[in-house]
Order: sequence, then C-alpha cells, then structure tokens
Amino acid sequence: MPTVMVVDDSKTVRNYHGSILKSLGMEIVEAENGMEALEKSLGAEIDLYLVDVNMPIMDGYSFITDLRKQDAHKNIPVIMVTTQAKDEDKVAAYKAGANLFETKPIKPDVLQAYIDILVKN
Amino acid sequence: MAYLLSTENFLKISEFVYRKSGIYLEEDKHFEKIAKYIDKRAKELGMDNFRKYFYKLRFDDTDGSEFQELMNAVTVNETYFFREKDQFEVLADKILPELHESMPKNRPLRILSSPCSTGEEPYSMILHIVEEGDIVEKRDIEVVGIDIDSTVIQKAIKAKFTERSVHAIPKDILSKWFNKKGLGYELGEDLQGSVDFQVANVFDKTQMRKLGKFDVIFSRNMLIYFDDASRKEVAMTFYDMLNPGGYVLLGHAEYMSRIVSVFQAKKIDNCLIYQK
Amino acid sequence: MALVKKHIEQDIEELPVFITLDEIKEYYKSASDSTQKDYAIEEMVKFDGGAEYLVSLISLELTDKNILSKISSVISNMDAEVAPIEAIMDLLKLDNAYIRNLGISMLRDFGGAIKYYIVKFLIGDDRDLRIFAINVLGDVNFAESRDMLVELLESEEDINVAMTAVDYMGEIGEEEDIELLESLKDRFKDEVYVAFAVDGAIQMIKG
Repeated sequence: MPTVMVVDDSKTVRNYHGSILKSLGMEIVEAENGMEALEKSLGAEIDLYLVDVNMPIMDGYSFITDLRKQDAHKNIPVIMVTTQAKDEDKVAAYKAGANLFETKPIKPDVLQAYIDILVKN
Repeated sequence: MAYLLSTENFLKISEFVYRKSGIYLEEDKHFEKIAKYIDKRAKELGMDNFRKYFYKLRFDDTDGSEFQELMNAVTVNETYFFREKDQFEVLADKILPELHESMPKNRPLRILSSPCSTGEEPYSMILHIVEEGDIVEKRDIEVVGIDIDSTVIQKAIKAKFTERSVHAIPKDILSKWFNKKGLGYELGEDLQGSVDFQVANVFDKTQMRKLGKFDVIFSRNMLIYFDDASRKEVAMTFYDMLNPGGYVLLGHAEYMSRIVSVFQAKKIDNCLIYQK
Repeated sequence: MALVKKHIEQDIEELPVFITLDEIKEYYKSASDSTQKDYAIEEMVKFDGGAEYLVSLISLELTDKNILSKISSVISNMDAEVAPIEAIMDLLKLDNAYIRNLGISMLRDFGGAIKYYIVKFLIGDDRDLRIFAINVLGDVNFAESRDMLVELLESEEDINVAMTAVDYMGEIGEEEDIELLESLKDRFKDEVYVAFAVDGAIQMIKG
C-alpha cells in the first residue's frame, strides 16, 4: 500500500487528513514537526509528504530542504499546507523543494485528485 | 475486567507523554502496564474515569510529581550491563570504525557516558570495544563517565556488580573479564581503570567544558526527566561538546525531534543516531 | 593502540571574563570558532541589554542554524521577568517564516508569563498568531483559558483558528459548551473537517 506521511503539529489536522487518506487506501505515518518527520523518513518508503509550515523545533521549509538532500527522497512529491497563502510563502515553499502548495484543511476531493496524480501513477 | 484506559485514551496519553518527555509509548509494549497503573492511581485519587485522571496529569500537577510517578511506572529505571545492547554493537561495529577513518589520527577517539550511574553503561561500551572487531588495536579509545551523584561514581570506580547487573552478559565474556567475588562479580584487572569516572553536572558549563570534546556521547534515559527548556539546554551542551561528525545516542524511546533540530538524524542497523 | 587508562587533562582554551556588554559584543564579532561564539552567547544574557542584543542577532545569523538554536536555548532558559519578550514579539512581525517560528518557539517556553500578549494576539488580525495564542492557552490552561476560548469561538470566522480552539475545548471544555461547539457546524456549513473536529471534541467532553 502506498504510504503518505502527514506532518503537522495539530493532532486534529493530522487526524483529519489522515482519515481521508486512509479512505483512499493509503497507509499513514504521522509526525508532529519537521525533525520527527526526518527521523521517521529514514529507511522508510514514503510516496507522498503532506507538510505543514508552522511547526515547533523544525518548520516545514527546513524539513523539505533537508529531505531533498537525501538521495532516497530527492524526488518524492511534497505538498506544503498552510493556513495562509501569501505569495512569499508560496515562493519559499517552491524554493525549498515543495511540488505543490495548498491551504488547509484540504477538501477530500482535492486530496483525492492529488493522490491520483502523484501517487497512483 | 475493563481498564479505565481505552485504546483512544492510550493514544492521548502517549501523545502527552511524548510531548513532555520525548518518550514514545507503544501500545503493544506499554498498554497493559499503563492501564494497570492508571487504574491503581485513579482509585487512590478517588477518580472514576480516565478523563479526570488525565486532567490532573495535564493541568493540576504543579510540582510535576504526578507526571514523575507515571514516568517511574513506565520506564525501567534499573541499569544493567548490555541494556539496549544494539547501541553498543553499532558503536563498536560501525560508529568507531567510521570515526577512525574520518577523525584526525593523532588523537584518541573519545566517548562520553552521561549519566554513567554505577558504570554499567561505559563498561558495556568497553566490553564491546575489546570483544568486537579490532578497533582497539588500531586506535586509542578513551571512555569518560560522568554523573551528578558522587556515590554512584564511587561504586563505578570500585567496579563490583551484582548477579542481576551482569545477567545479560554472555557467560564466556563474563568469565573472561570478571572475577567472581562472593555473590557478585568484580571487573578484572585488565579492564580496571579503563573508564575515567568524574562527578559532574551537565548544567555546569565550566565543568562540561573542562571535559573537552568528544566523538560519541551516550545519553540514555536522562533527558526525559527534564523540562522542555532544560532539555534544550543540555542537548545544545552536548552539541557543543561534540567534534564535528561526532554522534549522540539517546535511549530507544527518546527522540531529538522533541528537543532541538541541530543534529542530523541517521539510521545505522536500525538504530536511530544523531550526528553533528 | 589501546584503551586509555588514565585521566588526561584536556587542553582547554582559557575563556575570558567580561566586564561590559560591549566587550562581549566585540569578542563575539571576532570569535573564530563555535566554542567562543557559544561562550559569548551564554555570557551576554547576564548583562543588561544582552538578551535584546541576542534577539537582534537572529535576523543577522540566519545561515547558521546552530547559532540560532544556541540563542533560542539560552533565551528560553531565562527567567520570564527579565526575558526580552517585547524584542521577541517584534520578530513575529517579520516576513521570514523561519524567524517567526523561532520567535514563537521561544515564547512557548515562557507560557504563563506572556498572558498579556496572548490576549493581544487573540483579538488581533493575524490568524497564525491567533493560533499560537490558542496553543498557549490550551497547553498552559490558565484559569481564564476556557472562557477565552469560548469567547473566541463565539465569533471566529477562520476555520483553522476555530478548529485549533475546538481541539483544546475537547480537553478543557464542559458539558455546557457542547451547544456552542455544535453551532460551529452551521457556521462552517459543509466543511467535513469541522464536523470531524467538533464531534471529536464533544466525544472527549462526554468522557
């Protein structure tokens, strides 16, 4: 089963996105901050990352930057999620290595469309 | 008989414990132990459901004693030789050989055990170093053990241990390096004095500086007892004390992701380690 | 090659004792390695104005994450009464998300001492700061936390802010708050996320 890592310091958001993804047949791994996400990505086969911006210890941008340094995860798709969608935030996300940028929470049909394009292919 | 603790509540309490201490509780390993403890504790407090106990734990625990008692129930506090031994194996088989290549050859490789308690952890390192591979023939290795408690340091220097403390050492290694003394064991002459034990407080920056720089630091099951700010402080102290490229190893259920982001997480032989 | 069996006195650099903050600033600027920089940072907070200076360094030392972590750690360990809270608050107004997050993580460690600012954020325009304020209210649980969350929920229009508050209502809310929580489903009609979060919180309250 394809695996999606949901990285967000809000338990409700993790549960919410997680439950949609599970209903789409995904296996879920959760992390509360960027550092935990890096720890959990070691040696793991992750097919998609859903990453929040504002998290303690290590934020989303730092996480993606470090993730892209690992050969195994250079090309894994990353969707950055945030509460606000300012242009400079989008630019920062793409510069860090994110593939897509979304405001949260993501609607089920939108998440499904992303899964279809990014994972099921 | 149903416990007050349900599976959902287990998730809640394990998230709370993780936030507060960095310890990651797993259902298959910890559920029953915690469920039994909560039943007992809730009864003592005159509470009849999980939510009331959890509220007290989260918001009505000003001196931290409630949390401490939960932690005592959850963590195994005793120290013994070869506890979580895969970390010693990774040290001797992978980390030290790698550092031998990458670190300047004109100095010893230095390892710190903090806290070293009565010495089981640093002596376990020594035993693995002399028993596995040949690193000790290629390179000087220096092991330093520190603890804030002077009585345990005295005991560590004496190097006398109980049957219980050595129970996980394979018999052939035990007879090779230890002498039976009464009901217990004493470390043999060959390894006597192989660890430099010192009384030291990790919060005392001057003391820590005097210890010098290290290539590997083991700090297992110590940080979990500190609050967030102190944990950050000590993690940064350890970072400062490491030579670039050096490693920190925490306890199996502890994670730097609760503390600071300066280390790079790595996995060797399924052991999570942190590099500077 | 062998196990080193004696205590070897380490060759430690003699670190200076400082009399004024200006001396430390000079030392920091000319520091040649991280040991010296770290020492300067530790000593700076002991002087008036030192902590504020450290906060100002944050915008300048952006490429050195280790220095930033050191500064953040040293400030987090200060007593709330003397900590440079206003200076950290200013960081939250900057565009750089990394600096804003660093500021928030330092403030988090001060919990109770920043109640005044929490209220300021709760009624402010910045939704990320409202979320931060709610996180502190929930994590620290002041006597007034529940009342403040209820008040926020009565009029909050942003879904993420509202749901963060709902999360905590699950922990500290009472039976009488259930009606308000249910009403959020109407306010945010058709939002599956809201139903999810509200139902979860109500379930927790009911125990």
